[in-house]
Amino acid sequence: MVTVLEAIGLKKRFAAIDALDGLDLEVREGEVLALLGPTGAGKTTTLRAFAGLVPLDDGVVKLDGRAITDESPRARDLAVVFEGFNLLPTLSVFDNIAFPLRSPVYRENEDTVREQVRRASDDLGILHLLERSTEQLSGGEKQRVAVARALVRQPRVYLLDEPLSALDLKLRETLQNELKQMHVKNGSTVVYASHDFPSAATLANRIALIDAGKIVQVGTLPELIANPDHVQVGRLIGSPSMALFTGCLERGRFKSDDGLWSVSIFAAGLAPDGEVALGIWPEDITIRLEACPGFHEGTVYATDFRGRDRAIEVHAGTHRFRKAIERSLPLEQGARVWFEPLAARCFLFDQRTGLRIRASGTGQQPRKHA
Amino acid sequence: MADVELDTLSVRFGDVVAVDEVSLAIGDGDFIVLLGPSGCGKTTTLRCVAGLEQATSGRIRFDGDSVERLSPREREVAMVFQFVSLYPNMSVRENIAFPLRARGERGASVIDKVNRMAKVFDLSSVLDKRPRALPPGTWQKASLARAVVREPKVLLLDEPLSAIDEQFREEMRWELRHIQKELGMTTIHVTHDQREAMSLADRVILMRDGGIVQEGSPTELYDQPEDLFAAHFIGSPGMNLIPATVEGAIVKIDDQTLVLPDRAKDVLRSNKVENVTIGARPHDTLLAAGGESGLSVAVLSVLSNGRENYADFKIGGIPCKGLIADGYALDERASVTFNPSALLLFDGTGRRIGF
Repeated sequence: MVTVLEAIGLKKRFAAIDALDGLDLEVREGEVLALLGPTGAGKTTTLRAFAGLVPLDDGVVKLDGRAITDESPRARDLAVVFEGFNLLPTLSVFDNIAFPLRSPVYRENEDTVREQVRRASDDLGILHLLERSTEQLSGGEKQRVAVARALVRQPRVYLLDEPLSALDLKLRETLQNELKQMHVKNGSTVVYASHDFPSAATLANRIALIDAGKIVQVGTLPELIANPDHVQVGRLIGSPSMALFTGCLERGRFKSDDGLWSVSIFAAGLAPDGEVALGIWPEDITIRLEACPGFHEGTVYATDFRGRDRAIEVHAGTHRFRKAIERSLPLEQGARVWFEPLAARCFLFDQRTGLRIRASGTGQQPRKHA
Repeated sequence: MADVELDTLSVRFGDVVAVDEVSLAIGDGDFIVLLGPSGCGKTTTLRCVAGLEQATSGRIRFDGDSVERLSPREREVAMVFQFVSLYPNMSVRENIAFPLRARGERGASVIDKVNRMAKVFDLSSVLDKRPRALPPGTWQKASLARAVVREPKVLLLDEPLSAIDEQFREEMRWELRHIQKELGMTTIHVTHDQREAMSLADRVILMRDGGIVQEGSPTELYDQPEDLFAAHFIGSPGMNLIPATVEGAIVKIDDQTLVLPDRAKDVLRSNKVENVTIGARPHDTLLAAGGESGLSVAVLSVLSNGRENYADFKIGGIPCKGLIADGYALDERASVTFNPSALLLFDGTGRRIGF
């Protein structure tokens, strides 16, 4: 895999806040890399740093192995789409999309401009809008025009910053499909920043999880699920996300801090006693409708019909977790349930740093979720 | 609490029919969601129930009594809008108590009711804080608590979650669902977000062009959409909807024959349908590498969601999604079959054909 775009030790401080705190990231040729993290994690600043739109306090940006940290945004062969549309209101759709090609950097001849605009517009299904004024467009149409304007050039990397988050779900889905088909067709390299796990899961080949200006972990979704390095991976991934319980580890046994239940952790191995967070993917928690030896009691706080399945939120002592269940399971709000985390599938995290506590020598087998 | 009945309710603005003879019966304690795209009449319907809009014709009854002549206040409804305000100079406690004090309640009953709200809405730890110090989700809960503390007959929610950051919206859905069931309050909720509707509702009323397209439990709307609009609107990722031609009882897509259950063939034959649309949810659309049975398609991409692999493919020119087994290599020929018990057929006018 060839690395196209690379960030090494990026640092950026705004006022008293470290927006980027030593961020490292490699973007590979031809991939869609999702940059997934909560609001304020540093996603936009990272993309702006790649694009040269924010002066860095420290660190290096490389494109095709060459440092471009000090090059102007124009000199970088990158295209950026930020949230919101930023269309030029006095120009037609055609002229908006053609704008980058007619800029002093490119100065393409008008035949090439026409051809490129038509190609990008065709990809996004907006050929019929080219003569319109941008003021006549719906939100979804404006967003397509904004994306087409970025795609009209064929830069080394596209940087998309939550380009679909302002749209309603149906439109977002349609545009996701179009972006994906375009990516498949053109083999382009894309960095897609989002706080939305489903979008990232739908579009990306790999996911980079970002939190507090640092990359927490990078991998394919199955890799992240099999081997989360940090508690934030559990919080950001999955639908529902990872169940997390605080408690302490005593000689290989996890005891929840409300004192109500405990579970023996094989994977704990030689992990030292002390305060930990136990994480487990909801798929690895077994649910029973009746009391059962080894199972812990909880109450269904609320239910969520999701179409194919339902999710429930279970409260037990001071802890809560969510889990998808079969639609037909007769569990309504207020029902009592009994649960057991599968001991072999538990992960332990340091409560203070959030880092995974790995047992020396034992290591879990990565596996696919069934 | 009350049950609510809308009887052939219509609202016209000049020549425009905003609500077109809508009839609905809402049971005491039910959570109803009016769902549809903008302009479908859902908000106008809600405003009629609130008394903020006059119906051109039709009746609205609470517990059997007609309420058209009653002012919004006299109807004893609580309405919460998209942008909710709390009094910034009052604590959360004072905000929640305000509607009670405004109608002259004093003393222990106010304290009891506020404390009950604080417990239901999990606000006990912030009762003495000012609203501005609260995160958005807590703010929203406090304003809901203020709306329901005086125990209105009906709670009306007009897109209350749409102004909230997406990250808090899911949290609020869980809370809203829990609280509504806990209070057992008759609730009518308006949204254009099908995910929200499916998650919250006991019963979903899907609307379009002023009328009701379909009404039923979330399961019914998901499994048995009445027409192509409902099929398209409900579910994410969306249902695969593939146009096909019918010759006798043979259904063809792209010159390939789709194997149908016998009952479906009988219905097609006896109804003399010429064009149909095949409907199948992505999780009922199954792809296999190679494979001799099923429709042959080219797979465009495959992605794992961590549990399963979903393939994007095109059939009859329509982009579709389906489940694909592990170990599929792109460029291989794949064949598609549909789970026969979940397969839907729609006729040329878009109505579902039952079989």
